[in-house]
Amino acid sequence: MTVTREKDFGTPARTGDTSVTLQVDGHEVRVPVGTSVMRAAEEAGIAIPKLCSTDKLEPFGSCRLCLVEIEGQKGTPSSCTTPVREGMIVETQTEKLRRLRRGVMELYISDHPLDCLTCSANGDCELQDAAGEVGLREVRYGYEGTYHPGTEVDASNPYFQYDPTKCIVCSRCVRACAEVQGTFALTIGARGFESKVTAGMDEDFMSSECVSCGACVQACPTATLMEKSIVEMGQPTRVVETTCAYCGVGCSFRAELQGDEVVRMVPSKEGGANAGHSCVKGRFAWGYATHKDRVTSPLIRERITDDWREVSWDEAIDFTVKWFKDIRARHGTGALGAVTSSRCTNEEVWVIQKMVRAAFGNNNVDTCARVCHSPTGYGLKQTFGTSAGTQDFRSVEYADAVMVIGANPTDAHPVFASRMKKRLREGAELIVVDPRRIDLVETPHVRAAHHLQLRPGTNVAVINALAHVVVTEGLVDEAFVASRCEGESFERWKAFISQPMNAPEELEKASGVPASEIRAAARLYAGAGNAAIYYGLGVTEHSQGSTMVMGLANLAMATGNLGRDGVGVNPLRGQNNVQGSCDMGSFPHELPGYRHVSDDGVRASFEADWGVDLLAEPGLRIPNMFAAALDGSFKGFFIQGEDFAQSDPDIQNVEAALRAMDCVVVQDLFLNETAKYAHVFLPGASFLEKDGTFINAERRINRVRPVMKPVAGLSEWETVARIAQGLGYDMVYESAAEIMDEIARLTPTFAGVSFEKLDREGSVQWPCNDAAPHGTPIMHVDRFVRGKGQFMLTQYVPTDERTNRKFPLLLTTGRILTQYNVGTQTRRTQNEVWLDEDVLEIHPHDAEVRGIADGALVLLASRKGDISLHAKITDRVPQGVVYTTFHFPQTGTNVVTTELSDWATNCPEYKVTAVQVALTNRRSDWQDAHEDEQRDVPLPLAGE
Amino acid sequence: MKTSKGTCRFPLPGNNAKQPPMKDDDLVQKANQIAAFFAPYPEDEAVKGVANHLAMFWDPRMRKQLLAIAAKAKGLDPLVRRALDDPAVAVR
Ligand code: SF4
Ligand code: SF4
Ligand code: SF4
Ligand code: FES
Repeated sequence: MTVTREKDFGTPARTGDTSVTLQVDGHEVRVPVGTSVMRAAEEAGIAIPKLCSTDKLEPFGSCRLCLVEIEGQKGTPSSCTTPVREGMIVETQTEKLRRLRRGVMELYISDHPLDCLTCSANGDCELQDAAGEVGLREVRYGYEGTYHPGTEVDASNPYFQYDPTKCIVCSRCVRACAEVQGTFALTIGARGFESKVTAGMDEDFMSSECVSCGACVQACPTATLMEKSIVEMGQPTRVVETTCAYCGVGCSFRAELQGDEVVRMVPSKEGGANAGHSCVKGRFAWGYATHKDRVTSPLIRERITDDWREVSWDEAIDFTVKWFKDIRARHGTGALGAVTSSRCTNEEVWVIQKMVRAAFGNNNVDTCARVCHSPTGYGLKQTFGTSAGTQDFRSVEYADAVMVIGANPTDAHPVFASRMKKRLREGAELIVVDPRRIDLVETPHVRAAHHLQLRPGTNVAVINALAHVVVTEGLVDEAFVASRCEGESFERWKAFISQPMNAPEELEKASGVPASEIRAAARLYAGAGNAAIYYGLGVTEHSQGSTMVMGLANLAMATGNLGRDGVGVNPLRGQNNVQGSCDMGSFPHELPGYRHVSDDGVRASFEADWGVDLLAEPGLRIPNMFAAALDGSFKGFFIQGEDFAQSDPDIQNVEAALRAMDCVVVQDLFLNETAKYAHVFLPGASFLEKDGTFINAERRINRVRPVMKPVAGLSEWETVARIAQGLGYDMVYESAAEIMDEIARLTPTFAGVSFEKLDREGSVQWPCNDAAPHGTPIMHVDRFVRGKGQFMLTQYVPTDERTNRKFPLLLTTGRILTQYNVGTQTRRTQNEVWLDEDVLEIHPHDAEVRGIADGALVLLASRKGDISLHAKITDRVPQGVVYTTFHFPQTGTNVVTTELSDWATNCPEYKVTAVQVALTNRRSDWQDAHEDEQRDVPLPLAGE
Repeated sequence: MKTSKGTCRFPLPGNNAKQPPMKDDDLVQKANQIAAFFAPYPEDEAVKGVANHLAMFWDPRMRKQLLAIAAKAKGLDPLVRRALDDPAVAVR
C-alpha cells in the first residue's frame, strides 16, 4: 500500500466573513464568497475529476476535465474557475459530463506513454486516478501519440528529474514556480502538440535559475517531474509528520518512508510556517542523517593527542562524570559549564540547562544564540518586554511596506522569502538596508523602492537617521505613542533623535547612504499604512547589535507599526530552534522564560520543583568561557551540537582555549572541528531520531517526531540525565513528553503546552496559557508585555574595528541557499554541486587595482589572521567591501574575524572586519596547518 | 552565597580559581562599551544603567576583576568608575 496524499481541494481556500449556500449533487454546502465550485464540492465530500488544478495554486482552467452543469447556466463550465453564487444548484455527475470528460481523457492518454506498471509514479499519479474516475475504457485515437519526440530525461538536478515524455502540459509546475516559489524559472515553450515545459532559456534545470525548492515536483500530477529517490526506491509506505531541522522558518514536513528509511520529504500543507512550501535544504538535503560519517558509538580519550577509543555508553558516562567531579573538586564549581545547541529540541536543551544549574551548581550555560540573536533578546526585552518577534509569518500578507535589514531571506529563510515575495508582487513596497545587493533588491516582478547600501558597521547611524526624519517631519503616530508607550521615555527619545547629529545629512558621512534616500525611505515606512520590519544577523552581529535592535523597536513604536497584522519587528532567526533554546533558559543570566536568575520568586519556583538551591549570580557567556579557559578558571565543558572551532570568531583564540581545558565533551552527529579538542564524544540523534519540539522564528512550537530509533541507542536527553545522575543530581524522565510537562509547569508562557495539545492542534505559538489557550500569533496587541513600550536612546558609536592603509577594505560574511552555516550537514549531501568552496566577492574596481582576475587565488588578511580563497568579481558588493561565507572548514573564514562584540550581549561582530586582499599562489599557514591536522586526526573506529 | 532557600551548597563560581578570567584590557574595553551606550542618558541614570548591566550580565569573577583593577586601569570610562561604587556590582 502506498501512502495517501494530503487531500487536495482543487483551488485555494478563501477567507472572509460572508458566505454563500449552494447545492452540489443535492447536498447543501456553505462556503466563503470567492470559493470555487470545485472546492465547495470537495468540502461537501464530492470529488470532481481534475488535472490542471491543485489547491496550492490559483485555478487555470486548461484541462477541461472538471466540467459541471449549473442550473440556469448554459454549457458546462469548469468548476475550478467558476466561483460559487448564493442558491447555485450544481450537478457534477451527469451522463453528458461523463461523456465529455472521457473525451478529454482520451486525448490526454493518446499522447501519454502507457508504461504505468513500471512508472515511478505508479500508485501516486493523478492522471491514472483521473482516468479511473472518468471510467476511461478505450482510446479512439490510438496510443501512438508521439510523446514529445526528441526529448530526453533531464537529470541534471541532483534530486529530481524531468521526463518530458510524460508531460500533460497542465502547467502546474510553471505556476508553482511563479506563484509559490516566485522564481519564474519555468515556461511552456512552443505551441499545440509541440508544447513542453522549459527551464530558463531552454536550458537544463541545473543551468537555469531554478533554486531546487521542489514546488514544481510537488505540483506535477504525473511522473514528469519526479524525485530521484522515488525513481530509485519506489513509493513510500508510511508517513510521519515532523519539522525541518535546518532554519528558523520551521517548515512542517511529511517524512515519507519505507520502513525506517526516508524516501522523500514533502512539505505539509497544514504546516503553520510553510503552508506546503519548502526549500532545497529541508526538501532534499536530509541525506546527512544516514551519512557514513555519523559516529554511532561513544568515544573517549585521555588526551586530545591520543587516538579515540570506542566505548560503551556506561563507560563514556562514567568517564565524563569522573572528570567533571575531579574538576569541580580541584577548581571549584565555576570551572564547569555547558553550551546548548539551537539544532536540538527544547527538551534536549532544557535538560542541559537543568544539569548545569542543578548538577554543576552554577549558571555557566549559554547557547549559540550568543553568536547570532542574543542582541534581539536584549533589545526587544528592553523595549517591548520579551525576547521574541512580534508576528506570525502570515502577517506579511497584510504588509503595505516591508523593510528588510541585514537579512538575505531568499538564501537564508527561503520559504518565508517566497511568502514575502508574493506580497511584494501584489504591490507592497520594499526597502532593503544592506551593504550588499541581495537577490531581493531585484528579483522577478519585485524591485526594491530603496536600497540603502550602507557601510558595514553603520546600522545605528541609518536607523537613527530614519527615526530623525519620522520625528522631525511630523510622521509620528501620536495616538499610538500616547496610549501604548511610556510618555517620559518617548519625550526623551524625541529630544535625542531630533538633534542635528542624528539628521540624515550628518549621518550620511558615516553610513555613505545619501540623505535624500533616507528621507524617502523614512516617509515610505511611516506613511505606508502597515509597515513591517524583518531583520537578520546583519543587525545583530555588530558592536552595536543590541542598540540597533532597540533602534528598530523605537522606529516601529513611533510609527505605530505594532500589535496587528502586517506590521511588527521580526527577527529572522537563523537556526531551527534558536528561539526555543533561548526560551529554555540557556543563558547565564536567565532562567527559562527570560527571567533573571536574581529574581528570588522565580528561583524559588525552580528550587521547589527541582529540589536544589540555585545560584542568584549570572554565569559565564561563551566568549567569557573561552577567556576563563585561557586563564585557567574554566576547565570542564559540555558542548551540545556546536562547532566553535569553525563557527566562532577569531578561531585561533578558540582553539587555544579548547586546548587549555581538562575535559571537553562533545555531543554531535559527526566528529566536527571542535571534536578535535574533545576528550569525550557522545553520539547525538539526528532530527529523524528525535522526539520533541522546535520553536521557529514566529514562536511556533512544532513537533519533531522520530521516524526511527536513535542510531546510537540513547536519546540525547537520556545521556544528559545520566551524567547529571552521576554528578549526584537525581534527574529521571520517562519520555520527552514528560520534559515538556515540566517546561509547561515552570514557564508561564508555555503553561498550556503539551505534546497532546500539539498533536491535536498541529502547532501553537507561545505565549500559550490560560489567557491564550490556542497560542498567540501576534504579540503586544493591546499592551506590551512590559506594559507600556519603552523608547531607548540609541547613540551611534563607531566600531573599534577601523580600516587603515594596511587594512583598507571591510569584510562582511553571510551564507547561501544551498549550504547551511558551518555546513556539517549540507556538506554531507549532494548540495555540494551548487557550491563546494567559500569564495570572496570583491568589487571590480577593488579587484582591478590589485590585479585580481575573476577566480584568482587571493589572500584575505586581517589583524587577526589570514586565509586564501578564490575571488569572485561582482558589483553585488560596493567598492570597499568584500564578502564571503563560512560553510567550509578548510577555508577558515573565522580565522580572519575579530574578537570584538556587541556591548550588551557579547555577540561577535562577524559583519565588520578590516582586511586587505592580495593575489597569492599558496594557502595560508593556518590552512596548511589545518590540513595537516586533518590528516592526523585519528579516525573513529565506530561502525566502520 | 545566599539563595532563597538558605546557603547554597556550592561554593561561589570561580572563588577558588587562581587566575582572572579575562585580560584586563579586554575587560576595560567591554566596560567602556557599556558606558558608551548609556552616555546619552542623564549622568545618574547612566551610572545606574552601567551598574545594573554589570550586575545582571557579568559573571562575579569578571566583576571582581574589574573592581580590582579599576583604580589603576587606564582609560576606564568615568561612568564605569562611578558605577563600580554601586553596591549592586559588588560580589555578594
Ligand atoms: S524546483 Fe522550484 S525553483 Fe526550480 S523550477 Fe521547480 S519550482 Fe522553480
Ligand atoms: S511537468 Fe508536470 S506539472 Fe509541469 S506541465 Fe508537465 S505534467 Fe504538468
Ligand atoms: S525554509 Fe528553512 S525550515 Fe523550511 S525547508 Fe528550508 S531550511 Fe527547512
Ligand atoms: S481542473 Fe479545472 S480546468 Fe483543469
